[in-house]
Amino acid sequence: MINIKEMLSSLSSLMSVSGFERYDKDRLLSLISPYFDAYREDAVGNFIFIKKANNEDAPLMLIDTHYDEIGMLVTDIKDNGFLSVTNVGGLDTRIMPAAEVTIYGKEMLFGVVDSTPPHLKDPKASKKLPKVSELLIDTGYTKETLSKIVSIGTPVSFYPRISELEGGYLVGKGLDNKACVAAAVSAIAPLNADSLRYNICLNLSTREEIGLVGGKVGAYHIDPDYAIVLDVNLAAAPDAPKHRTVKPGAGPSVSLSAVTDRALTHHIIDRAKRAEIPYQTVVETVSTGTNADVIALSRCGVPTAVVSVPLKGMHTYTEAVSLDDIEKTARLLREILTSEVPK
Amino acid sequence: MLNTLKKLIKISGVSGREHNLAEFIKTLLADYCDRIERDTLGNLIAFKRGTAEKPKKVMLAAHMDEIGFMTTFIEDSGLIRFGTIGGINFNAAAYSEVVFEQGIKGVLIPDKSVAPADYKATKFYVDIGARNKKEAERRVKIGDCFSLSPSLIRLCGERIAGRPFDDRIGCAILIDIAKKLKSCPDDVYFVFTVQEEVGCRGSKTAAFTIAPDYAIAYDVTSTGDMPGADPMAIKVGEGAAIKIKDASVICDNRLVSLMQKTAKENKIPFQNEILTAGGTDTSSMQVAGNGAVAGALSVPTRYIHSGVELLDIKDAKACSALTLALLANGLD
Repeated sequence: MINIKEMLSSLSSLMSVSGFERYDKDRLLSLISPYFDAYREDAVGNFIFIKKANNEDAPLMLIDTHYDEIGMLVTDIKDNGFLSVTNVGGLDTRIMPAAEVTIYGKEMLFGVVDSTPPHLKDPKASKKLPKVSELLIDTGYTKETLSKIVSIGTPVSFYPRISELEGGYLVGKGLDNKACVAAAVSAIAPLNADSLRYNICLNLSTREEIGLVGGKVGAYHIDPDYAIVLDVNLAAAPDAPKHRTVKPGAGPSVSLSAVTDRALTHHIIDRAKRAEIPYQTVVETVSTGTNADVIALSRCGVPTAVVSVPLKGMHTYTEAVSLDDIEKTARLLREILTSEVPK
Repeated sequence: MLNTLKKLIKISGVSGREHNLAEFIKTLLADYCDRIERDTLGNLIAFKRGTAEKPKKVMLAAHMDEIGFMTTFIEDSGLIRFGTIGGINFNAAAYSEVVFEQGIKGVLIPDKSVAPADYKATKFYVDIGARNKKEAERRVKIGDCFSLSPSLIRLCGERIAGRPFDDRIGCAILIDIAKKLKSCPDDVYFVFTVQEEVGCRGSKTAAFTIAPDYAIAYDVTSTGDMPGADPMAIKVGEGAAIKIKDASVICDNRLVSLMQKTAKENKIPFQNEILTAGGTDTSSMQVAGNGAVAGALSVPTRYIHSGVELLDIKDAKACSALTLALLANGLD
């Protein structure tokens, strides 16, 4: 069995800002390839891992877990040696002042986002949040030196650091969606060809955070019979509305939505009940905000369901996920892959 | 046409939940086509073979789904909270009767402290008369869909008001065409699509499967003939609306010209439609797969997405007659 904590810690440390997912490709492959029969890539850089069932005619199941993470790109190197950036995906500037970042230039550089101390702040100054374009990253280097290492377009990510919260929570950056990558790999790893009811394509899809790109392209050429999208979901926090969140530590959530396939979704819920795996349902009326929205409409249509891992603090450098939720998600996925969808 | 419409509006079909409606339409069409089946997303596709040696493929599409609501949360009090599916006009929906797909009825009520200008989904609830959460949960589950109750009233002449005419009137037109179509050169696919109201989804996959040469959508369109309406040269009762453009598509002008010419030759009343907001299945059929020559025929309708959508059955009949004339000669 895979040690989920170790796997997720390793995955979190990999740089995978949307569009730059290849950066740590070798380390990614060494983590995941051992558990699969084959591997291929496509035009948009999707990492596709294949595991075959004994029955060649078994239906093809696409499991889509996006691998990219939000981040930034350098837009300018200022005279004083500071870097300005633009966002890749949904970046919340509330959390940016004083954040620690890594700049992936010719060398990896450490940086901190500039923040004005309260002593120096004009009390009458605007309380408005800074725009992304107003953020400045301090590296300590002069412009001259920095220009040799960093160029416009260099990706920047939150500083990779894993810590823990009481109660079995792992905390770090990029757990959206590497928590689900860990769940998928740990579900599939122990399965052998005899037990699989499907031929499996696990797509660690790229560029989800900037428009569901990898999910869409992957579904088109993989052309699956079924698809399950694993993505994180907003976990309840003290100040968040109850009906829009899921409970952390209460198991995976299954999406009820117009875009997801009801028969496949009911099958998943049925397997969870039979195997006594705690689960929750979440209503996402029209669309799920995940790759499922494009996979379901690929070609002639693909029966698609969404299973999610609750995540606290989404799109921050202190995203928190329950290891127990990941383990339960993996168990549920294993139940699905070893049973047939009723006709 | 009116009798078919009366039957079609009685069956619930909120986007994503069109199953029962599809099965009903299937029974209506079984005797009038060569093949009828449902696809992965739930589109109903009825096929009628053409007589030409190398027939072209014509796809006629009307959407089965209607706007509605999905249950998200049940309060301890037994009141039901929901999310919206499609473009709901809450000013028009407040204090209306609703019906769940399993037949349970309720009323849709705004929070008393909220002014009509601030109406939105989170300020509304459904009261099914349950005394508490437990009683409500016996009847309604999270994820269950509901909609404003169907209705149909006869007004002056052949005008009617009620819901959901968007787009059961399109479905009624397609059924009328299928029943009246004798033989024609082209292969005709009558497609009753799903999930139009949430992004023209069904027509995308159906058009990919069928790969039509020509595609025509049948849907309602807005009008400019009421107080406060945006300027628009479309009136209820003035004939089939031949779509030239809406916010999602510019129709193929070869097909538009053919429609106009055929209408004139057959003395079928028509008007030219430019809709500045809103879209139809036309757009997704135009660009699916290798693409298609795409257009649309619309039924001018006042008060769309309310409980009292108003249209003239004569306009729907004109859409049907014009299509039959087009198909008789072949679209090529």
